[in-house]
Formats: sequence, C-alpha cells, structure tokens
Amino acid sequence: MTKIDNRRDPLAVSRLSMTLLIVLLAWPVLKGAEFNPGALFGAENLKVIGRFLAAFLPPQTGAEFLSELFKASLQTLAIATTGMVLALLVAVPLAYRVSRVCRSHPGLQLIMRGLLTVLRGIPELVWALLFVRVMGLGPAAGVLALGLTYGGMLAKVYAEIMESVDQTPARALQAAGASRPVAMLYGLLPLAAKELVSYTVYRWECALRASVVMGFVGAGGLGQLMDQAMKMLNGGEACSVLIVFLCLVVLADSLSTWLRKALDAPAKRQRSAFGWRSTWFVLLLTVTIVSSFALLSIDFSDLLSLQAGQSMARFVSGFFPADMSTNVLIKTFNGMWQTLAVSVLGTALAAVAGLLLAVSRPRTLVNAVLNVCRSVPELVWATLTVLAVGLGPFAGALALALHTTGVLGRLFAQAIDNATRAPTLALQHAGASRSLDFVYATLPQIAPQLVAYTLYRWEMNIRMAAILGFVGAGGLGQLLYVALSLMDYPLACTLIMAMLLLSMLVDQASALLRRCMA
Amino acid sequence: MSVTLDQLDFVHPNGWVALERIQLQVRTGEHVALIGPSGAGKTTLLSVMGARLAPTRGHVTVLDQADGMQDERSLRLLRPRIGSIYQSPPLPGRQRVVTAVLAGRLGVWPAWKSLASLFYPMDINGASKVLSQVQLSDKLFDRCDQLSGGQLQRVGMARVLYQQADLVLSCFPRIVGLRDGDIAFDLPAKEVTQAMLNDLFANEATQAKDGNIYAANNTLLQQPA
Repeated sequence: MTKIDNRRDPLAVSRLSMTLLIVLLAWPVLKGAEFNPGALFGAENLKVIGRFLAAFLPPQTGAEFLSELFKASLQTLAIATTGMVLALLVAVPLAYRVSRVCRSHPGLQLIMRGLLTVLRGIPELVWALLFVRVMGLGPAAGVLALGLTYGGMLAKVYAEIMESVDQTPARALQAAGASRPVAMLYGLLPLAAKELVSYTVYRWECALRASVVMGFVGAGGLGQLMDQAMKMLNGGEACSVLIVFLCLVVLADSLSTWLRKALDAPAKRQRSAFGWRSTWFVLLLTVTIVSSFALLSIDFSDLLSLQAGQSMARFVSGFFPADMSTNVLIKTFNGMWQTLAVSVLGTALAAVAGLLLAVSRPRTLVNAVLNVCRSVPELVWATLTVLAVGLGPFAGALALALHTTGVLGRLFAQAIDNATRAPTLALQHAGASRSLDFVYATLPQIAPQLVAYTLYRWEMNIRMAAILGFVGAGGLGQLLYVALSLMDYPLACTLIMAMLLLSMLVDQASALLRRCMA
Repeated sequence: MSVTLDQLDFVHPNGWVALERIQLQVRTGEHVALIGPSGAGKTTLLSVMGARLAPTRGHVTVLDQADGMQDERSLRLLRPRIGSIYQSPPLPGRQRVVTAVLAGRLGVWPAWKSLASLFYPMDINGASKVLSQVQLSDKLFDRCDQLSGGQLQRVGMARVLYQQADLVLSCFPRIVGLRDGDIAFDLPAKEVTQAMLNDLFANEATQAKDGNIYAANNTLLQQPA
C-alpha cells in the first residue's frame, strides 16, 4: 500500500513539455501572422466595413445587372463542369499509371508521382493567373487551371482509393490470365466504384467554389463580378452576387448529397446494369457537358496550334532560371514564414471555433451559421476581412479561419453525433454536468478524429494561405501577385517553387503528426 | 428506508407496459437481487430506481428524495449518490484507467477540479486504492482499450466504489448461476470480486420463475404481461 500511495502520473513530464513547446511555438506564429484582434474593433476599420456592409442592403436588383448576373452564374457552372471533364481526362490515365494495384513490379513511378505533386501542389488560382497571361482574360484560363489542379488531385485520390480496397479478386482474375486493365475492371472497380463516384461528385462541388474564386484573377464568371463590386465598394452588387453564389453552393450541396444517397440504393434485378434512372442521368449529364462547352466556346484547336505553343513556350522559358539572389531568397523565406503562420493560426482558430459551434445549441441556428461560413470561399472572406482589419496576414488568417470553421464545425458535429452515447449517459446518471460529461466521455472517443480532420484541413489551408495574398492578405501570394504584375517572372518562379516546397513540407509534417496521434 | 416504490407503473412511449403496480421497499444496508427472464422489465425497474426514468404513475422515493426527480436541482444532488454498474462498461477506449475511475466523482467535484484532472489526475491515491480493491492497481496508468473485457468491467466497478454512492444498482449480467450463497462468476480473480459482490449486492437470492420479477425474500413483484 505504501508503495502505491506515492505514485506520480508518468505522463506528467511529457504533457508539461508538450504544453511548453506549444506555447513557445505559438508566440512566433502569432507574431508572423501579425495577430491583432484589436484591429477588428479599431474605429477607422469599423467605419469602413460598417459603411460597406450597410450598403449591402438593399441588394442590387437592376434589370441590366440581373441579366449580367444570370450570364455570369451560367458561366461559373459551365467553367466548373468543363474543368471537371478536363480533370477527368487528366486523372483517369494518370491514376491508372500511378496506382500500384495489380502490378507485379512497382516500376519507376517517381516521375509520374512527381508530376502529380506539381500539378496539385500549385494552387489552381496560380495556374489561372499564369493562363490568363498566356490566353488573355476569360473562362479558358479558369477551365485549364481547374483541369490541371483537379486532375492531379483526382489522380492521386483515385489511385489511393483503388489501393485501399481488397486486391484479391483482381489478383485472382490476373492469375487466371486476365490482363491488368481487364482484371481491374472486373475485380477492382465494383469494389471501388462507389467511393470513386462519391469523391468525384464532392470534387465537382469544390470546383464550383473554385471557379468563382478564379474569377478574381480575370477568369470570368461570378468571381469577376464580385471582384468588380468589391473594388468599387459597391455593397449592393456584392450582396446580390453573394446571394446567388450561396444558392448555387446549396444547390450543388444538395445535389451531391442526393447523388451519394442514390448510390447507396440497392440495384434492381434486371438484365442490363442501366435502368431508366441511369439512362436519364447519363443523358442529362451529356447535355450539361455539351452545353457547357458550347456556352464557353473555347477554341481548343486554337490552344493546340503551333502559334499558341510557341507563345506558351516563350512564356514558360521566361520563368527560368529562377531568381536565386540572396535578396530574393530572404524575401521569399519571409513570405514562406508568413504564409505558414497564417495557415497555422487560421486552422487553429477554426478548430477552436468549430468545436465550440459543434457543441452549441440550437442546432438549426448553428447549422445555418456553419453553412454560410463554409459556402463563402476563403478568398471572398479575405476581401471582407481585408476591409475589416486592414491589409496584411492577419486578414488572411481570419479569412481562413472563417471558411475552415464552417468545414470543421460540420465534420466535428458529425463526429460527435457518431460517438457512443453510453459513456456520456453513465456520467450524467452519476450526476456530472453536461459540459463535463462531454470532455470526460465524448471527447476521448472522438479526439483522434478531430485531430485528423484538423490536420487534413491544415494541408489544404497552407495552399490557400499561399494565394490569399492576391487580395492583399500578405504572405507568398502577395509577393507573387506583385511579381507577376511587374512581369518579374524569374522572381515569380522562385515564389512558386517556395509554395510547392511549403505545401510538401506541411504534407509531411501533417502525416508525421497523424502517425504520432494514432 | 433507501428505496420505496409505491403503486408504480411505467409505460414506454410506444405504449408497451413495462412495469405495473410495483410495490418494493429496500432498507439501508439491505442487498436485493432482481431475477427474471430478459424482457421482464428488470433494467426498466433499475432505471426508475436510479432516477434515470420518471415513472408514468405511482410514487418513487430514492434516498429520502420523494418524487423530486423531475426538477434539475434535486436531481443534481441525488444522482451522485447513486452508482450504476452497466452490462457493458461505458468507458471510452482512449481514456486512461485513472481518469475513468476519477470520473466517478464528477457530480461532486467542482468544475475547476474536474477540468484540471484532465491534465494531471487530481486524486491518484484514491483511484489507486479502489483499483487495488479489484486487483487492478498495476493498470492505473494504462489506457482502457489496453484492457480485457473482464478487466474493463472491474474498472467500471472501481469507478462506482470511488463514487462512494449510497445506493448501487447493477445490471451486471455475468452471474451465470445462483445457488444459495454461492455465486459462480465469469471472471478471473474470483475471490476478490466475490468479496466485492458480497459488499455490493445480494448473496441470498432465489430461483427465477418464468416471466416474473422477484426481489429479496421471494417477493413476487410482477407477473408477466
């Protein structure tokens, strides 16, 4: 007994040092992101944002503006759809090449995997900005940018999904003499199909948001209208655009939920795999795609012409060699640090706010808040936060935090709902209060999930933080925007490489942290 | 008198009558075993006694709190005095044993202490003492998901011991056979848990007859619906 009575918590030392480490790291992060909540309440800033938001009402409803708005919405939808088609054309063959399934030799995948990393490591907005330089203002730049980034992203995830399902059926077919593609079609696709489609639909939803954002750099659609309204501080127009945009996002959201639910329905017993529902769906999809291409009237043959190739080559060669002078490197390093700080602060704020919202009541009000936060893309939030707290990285961190709160809050709420109720009820029946039983019974169950969600989001946010600077929110993006405006392409090349490096570093760090938590 | 149930009915929201005109008195210091086939209403009866369910009709007096269970304040005072042992121990897998045991007193501890205890366990000695009563003191700092099912059940008992409840209700199902005074127990460390059981609940229980619920001394509580 005496031995027992003097026991200490063996975890105390490591917990204490972890806390100290976090506090020590928090300081430079806050400093790097120029954390200054006081700016939210500065008299000058309050006046600017107040006047702007006051101008939101009433929304602009002039007939001329509305017809412009309608055209822009159609264009946005068309950009998202066309971009997704292009992305699929890129992703499917790449995923087939890169994936390790049904291969006896892993082969040399390094170059392919590297290509994927570059495709999705450079944010779509940067691609769009580059394509706008080559092809001029218009939707073509947005479509190509979407195609490349989403192609890279889809290829990677498709390959991972195929690798994650049971390989034995496909292997068995191969052992019986089937070739790799046939073995995959018969043995692998039935297992992976649902997840593949579900992810594709989710990505289409993301593409819609992204196509709005790309309008900010001149790639047409709703984003361009929004950008104009913001630059002229025309609150009424901005409000109309935002409302339409929110409607589109909600529509896409419900469509994708409906599609995913439809996938869960068991198939009817019939001779052909195609019932009338699938036939209708395929018809509708074809019409959508064809009309999207028709609406945008991008001349792809023009893109593939010798002349276009030459101008593209000239443009690209202008980027090399990258500017590696000490001066530039120091500037780039500072930009990297600022971007990193913005992403960390934004994600951390969002994790806290998201958890608080996820446990708040009433549920309907919370859901409405989360939906608005989530539907408005980071870049649009940034145009608002820049007005609210002035130019600089803190505006970027706030914008990231606002959007990410919407995303994480919803995921957290789902995780809480899925947690087992028994431990919570047991504590309640022993007299514990509601907040205490949450931290003692629910949180231990879902903590790893919450951490994983937050880390995944951080990986996305580092890419986003790098481009928030386009609207004046500091970091690498601001430097890149200036460099491209001044046509200093070697500097731009260095900055883009820095973005790539940063996103790869964060991927590694996040994977490492997730492994530690497991 | 610890528990008095008077003319008690409980009807589930879907109309199923689980308990009908239950009459039961349990005095302080008394051990009572409820015996009956599954679906007879044993767990519902325990839930009413544990202030988890309000009866549809009739009167409940638990630990001198008469019918006061509907209002939040008296519930908060009453519940820490009632300990429950569950069929499957309601412990989060990633929680450490010490925290799971200390959680027994969340209803009594001030909020700051409960929160601080998440960072450094506030009563290591107390937890270790009750764990040694169920022969688990070497698992003090292990995580719950590292324990076997039987060990986890004993952690659940340790939590109730730590709670120092005045009334202990148990839905523990693993008693496989009952003969007068001898309890065959589906757990290792038989002697310890036997001693604990003697301490916690009855050793004089009677044979079940189909569909009926019996309490101590062969009182027939309810006939099957």
